[in-house]
Amino acid sequence: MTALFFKECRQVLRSLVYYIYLVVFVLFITSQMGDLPELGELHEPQPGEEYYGYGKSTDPHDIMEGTIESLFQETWRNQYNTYPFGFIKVVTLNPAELSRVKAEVEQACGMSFDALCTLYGDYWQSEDETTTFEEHMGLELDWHIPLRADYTYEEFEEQMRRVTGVIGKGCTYDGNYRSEGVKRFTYEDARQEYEDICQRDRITGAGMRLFCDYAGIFLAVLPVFVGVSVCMRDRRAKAAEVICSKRISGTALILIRYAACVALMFLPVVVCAFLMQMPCAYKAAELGVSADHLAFLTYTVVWLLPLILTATAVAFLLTELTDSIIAVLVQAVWMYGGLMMARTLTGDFGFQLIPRWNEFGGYGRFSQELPQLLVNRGCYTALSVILIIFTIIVYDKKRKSGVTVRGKIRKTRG
Amino acid sequence: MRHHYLPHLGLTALFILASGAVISFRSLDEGSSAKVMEMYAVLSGILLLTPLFFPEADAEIWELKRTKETPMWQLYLGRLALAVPALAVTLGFFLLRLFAGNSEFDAGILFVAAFAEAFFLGAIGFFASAATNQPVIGYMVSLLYYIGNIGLAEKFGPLGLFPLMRGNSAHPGIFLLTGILFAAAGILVRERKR
Repeated sequence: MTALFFKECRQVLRSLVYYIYLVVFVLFITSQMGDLPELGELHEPQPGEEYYGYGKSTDPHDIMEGTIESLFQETWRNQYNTYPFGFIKVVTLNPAELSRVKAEVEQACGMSFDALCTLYGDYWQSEDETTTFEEHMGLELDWHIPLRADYTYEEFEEQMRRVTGVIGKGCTYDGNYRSEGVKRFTYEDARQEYEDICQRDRITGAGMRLFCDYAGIFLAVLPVFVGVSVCMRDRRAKAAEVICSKRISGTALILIRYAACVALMFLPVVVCAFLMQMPCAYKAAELGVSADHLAFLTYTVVWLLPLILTATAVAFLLTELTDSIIAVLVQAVWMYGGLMMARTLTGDFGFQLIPRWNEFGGYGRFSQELPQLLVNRGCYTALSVILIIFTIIVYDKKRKSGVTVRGKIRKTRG
Repeated sequence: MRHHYLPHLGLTALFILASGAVISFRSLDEGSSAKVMEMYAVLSGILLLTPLFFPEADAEIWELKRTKETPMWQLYLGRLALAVPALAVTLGFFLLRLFAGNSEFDAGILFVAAFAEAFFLGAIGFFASAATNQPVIGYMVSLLYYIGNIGLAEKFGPLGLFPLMRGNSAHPGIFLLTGILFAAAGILVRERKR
């Protein structure tokens, strides 16, 4: 068994697809993680600082303010993000519909839409020194729409129902506005965030979440190419019949081949994670924090391994079933859909194929969503097991009684 | 072609049908119309052009085709002659939907730009699958080129995708010429290599 495993590993290592996988993954991850400004800026907050950053808020006033601001800005651009089928779909309204939405914004603020546009325009004109993206984002968050003093949460919810009727199902205002609340951090908030990063995340955890966020995007699709290539190898080499005649069982063959494939694809991920963790470990030492040196392994195994398992299992099953490379298209659509379905770049894991956490830190919110992530990853691991069991069944059926011809299992002998 | 190419035409039809669920064609301005064509519709180039060498990836079929009177390059050109109009029709469908949705766009500029980019993307896959004799690499290279351009298009210079969407002027000539070179090189490689 061990000999066969290493033989399969050698076969994968001879594949050009594997080297493309390797180069693309390493290039992508180093371009995204090569420089982490958040790590350089990490310092203990001091009382009296001018700016401590921003964070999510569950206060009803912050939610109303954030949601109406978002509605104002989307109306200003006349482009609304909606998720009618889970995928993002940008909707543009006709003039009559746009007027109805503008009227709702005006009702919430007690002033005309044009007056709000002037306020917004004046704000940006007075801040025209902005140069960097971070400064721009800070200014964007610093601007607050003036809501009516007597504006209530009940009235707000009623308005959101009417706005959803105009824009369509799946928009931000379709009951999805609870995460729109944003507040400016106080010293206490910033202190709490810093302590979370140092004591609970031990710095390396924060870095590894960001690593997993970026790596997950490519690992949702890259393994499928390697998997398909491995499964097509026997057919291309005209060796399928010879392998069928060997004594090894279909279960052992598929499992060993799958294990070799997954192991070789996971290995560079672990190595990259370890290397990317080093700057975080150095920073921890600099700040006198005890870093979690195994974070690279914990995060990659829990977060990224199920992705590799799933994409490879999809490749194995569809390739064995159809003798074609349809798995590439299926997985590419799934990956594209997975990215488009994300309503936020931090959390809301649900059953997303690609869990996102595009933030350095935020451990407080992450720890609340951790059970959801564990269930999500557990489900994808279970799905991979099911797909591989089906692959074994298909392979055994082909081996015993025939081959597939354009996706259908046809009997060829006795 | 009936056996090998029909599923790909079917997939392209499915791609057109599914578009309504993913993208809006309604009341779009010029930038958003360009986004529909350059970010979504161009993927049909990969679907239609990359699989043109599939049958001959099997060495036996390749040997058999070599024995025929018709030269291989004529066979491949014939396939391209089917795939390229299919690509134009697919992009035409998208433009029609934009038109029906009262979106703003210059049909001529948008069609030529999207066609050139789609042809270029497809030609990359066409060449990669020809050079390696592995269709999976064809898809891999063209898809990765597309994904790499999301956010990094400027780094690809004149061959950076989505120029209209990024507010630049279209340069379809460069895409078309490079696409033709890739397609010609692909045919040449397949003509000589088993």
